[in-house]
Amino acid sequence: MKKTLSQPALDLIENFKNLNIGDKTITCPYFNNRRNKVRGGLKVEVGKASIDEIKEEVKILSKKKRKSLEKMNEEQVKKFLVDNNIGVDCSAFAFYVLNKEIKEKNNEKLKKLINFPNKSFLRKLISKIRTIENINVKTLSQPENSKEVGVRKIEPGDFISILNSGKNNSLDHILVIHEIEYKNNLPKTIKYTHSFRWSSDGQFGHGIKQGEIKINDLDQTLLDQDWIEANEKNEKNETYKRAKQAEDLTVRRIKL
Amino acid sequence: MILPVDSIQLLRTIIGFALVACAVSFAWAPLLTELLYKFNITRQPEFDDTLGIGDRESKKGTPIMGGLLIIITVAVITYFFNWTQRFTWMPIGVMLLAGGLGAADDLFHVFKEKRRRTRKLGHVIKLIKVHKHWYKRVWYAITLPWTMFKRSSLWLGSHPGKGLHVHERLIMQFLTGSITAWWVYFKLGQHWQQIYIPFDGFIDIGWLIIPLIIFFVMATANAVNFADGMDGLAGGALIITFSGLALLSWMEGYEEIAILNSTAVGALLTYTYFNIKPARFQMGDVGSLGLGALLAINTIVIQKMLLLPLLGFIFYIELISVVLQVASRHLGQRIFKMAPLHHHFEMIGWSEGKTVMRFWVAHGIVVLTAIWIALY
Repeated sequence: MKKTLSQPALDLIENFKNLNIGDKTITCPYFNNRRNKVRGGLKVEVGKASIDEIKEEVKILSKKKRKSLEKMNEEQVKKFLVDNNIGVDCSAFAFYVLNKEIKEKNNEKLKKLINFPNKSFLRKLISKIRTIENINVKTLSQPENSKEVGVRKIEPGDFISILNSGKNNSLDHILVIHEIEYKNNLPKTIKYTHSFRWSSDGQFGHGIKQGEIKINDLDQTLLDQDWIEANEKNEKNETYKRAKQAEDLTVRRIKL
Repeated sequence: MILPVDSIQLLRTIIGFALVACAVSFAWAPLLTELLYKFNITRQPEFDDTLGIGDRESKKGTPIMGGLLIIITVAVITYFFNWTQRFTWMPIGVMLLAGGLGAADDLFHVFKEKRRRTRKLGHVIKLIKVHKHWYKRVWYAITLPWTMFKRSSLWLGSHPGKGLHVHERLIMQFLTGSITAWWVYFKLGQHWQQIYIPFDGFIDIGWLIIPLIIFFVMATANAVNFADGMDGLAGGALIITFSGLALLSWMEGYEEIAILNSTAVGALLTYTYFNIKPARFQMGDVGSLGLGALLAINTIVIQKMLLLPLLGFIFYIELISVVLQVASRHLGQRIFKMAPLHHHFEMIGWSEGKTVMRFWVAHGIVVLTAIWIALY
């Protein structure tokens, strides 16, 4: 038996994975928001744009930069997006997918469910107006916004929050669980999607990725299971490495 | 009803000035084109984002500063044949001042090296704390408000490129508006401290007219500047506006202003003849800022200031589209695919000709409405 996200949420993931730019199909690139220097800009300039906004921006930019998208092959289109800093970061991707899922199942908007604690009045106001631009993994992982879930009770639409990871414990990441396979009513394989960049991706190979966690022993922690992505397992799997470095690794569910 | 002979005579003079201005500008247009090409005062592609839209690539290398044709023709004809201390010297002075600012911008775009961007506020605050020389720290602290002004002007979203920075333009335009306000408030007399309210009459608002005048001069100059982005657009719309203004000033008995407006119409007819696609030359900031200021001051003099957004309808629509675009940008998304508005229509597939002509028609209808309102 398996459970998946709702069809609209799965379609959204598919559209990010296979982003149609004109007659070309590419994977939506990863946006590294740590390198972002734009303040108060468009969503698309800060890696928080929806698919339609990304497509629109690419059209406008191609005209501004006098580049014909029709004459480019898929590799060149991807390069065009990366060169112009267009992509989606992990938290924005998770936000859009979770929003779609919550809207489909609970007829709610994620924007209305999200709180921005520990902020001044002005920052809170800005965050309310520019919710998606201010969303990050820490906000989604706040106890006000999501609750921790045990691996046994994991469901599609939950997310794996990776906080304070990387060499300096300053990087956060998020994986959205889109499918779970069960055996004897217990989760056997957790499949996730995320926006990420591996060092082996080079300059243009990054973007929306999918992987899975094979549950060997439910009594062990998540890190003790088999993490497989891009045919790489555990230590060679950079997503796993990122999770392993994290000070805080939890499975969470948005509070409704 | 038959018009009095004097009015007919004045109307003849007004139309005559338009024809003379048209002929004079036709006579020296080839010389101007020659000079613009000779000194390579042409459209530079480096900071021009619009050249990729439609078939705009062909605009690369087109001479700019074609507005000199209008500005100089109007100034010279007015100086020799319509010069009065009471009414015409100040509009011409303000037009030349605003045009001079535009000319500096145009020339900087062509000849100047790329200008350094203003230091970020955070950087300056850091320098105040850590600079090794104490006198530099004091200097940065004293000039902090100025830095804040410069940085905040960047929020308006303009890319300085090689031209004047936004804060420099704002200061110069404020100066232009202030001079106009000083002249209207202190020199024209008590009557000009009143403001015309459509369908209601005049009310005296005293010194409050000063900020209003400054606002309208700055807004109108910038609005015309924004509209100058397509072949024929600003020229055609200005012909409609100045014709309307000439009619209004003739009816209100402002003889000199009516002649000044008709002179502008004549020069604009020639300019637009050469500016129709494919343009022989483009107006440039020298023309758009100068004529924007002239339009504002001529409307203020005949006390129809509140009708300016209607008389300059398409210009104000372009201005508002830019303001909305900048504001929406800070909310995370665009309202228009590109601003000013004419680029939005180009982006959605309208041809340049279609956009320009529809804008002319819309503008004509609203200017007609403004004239109708002004008659009450």
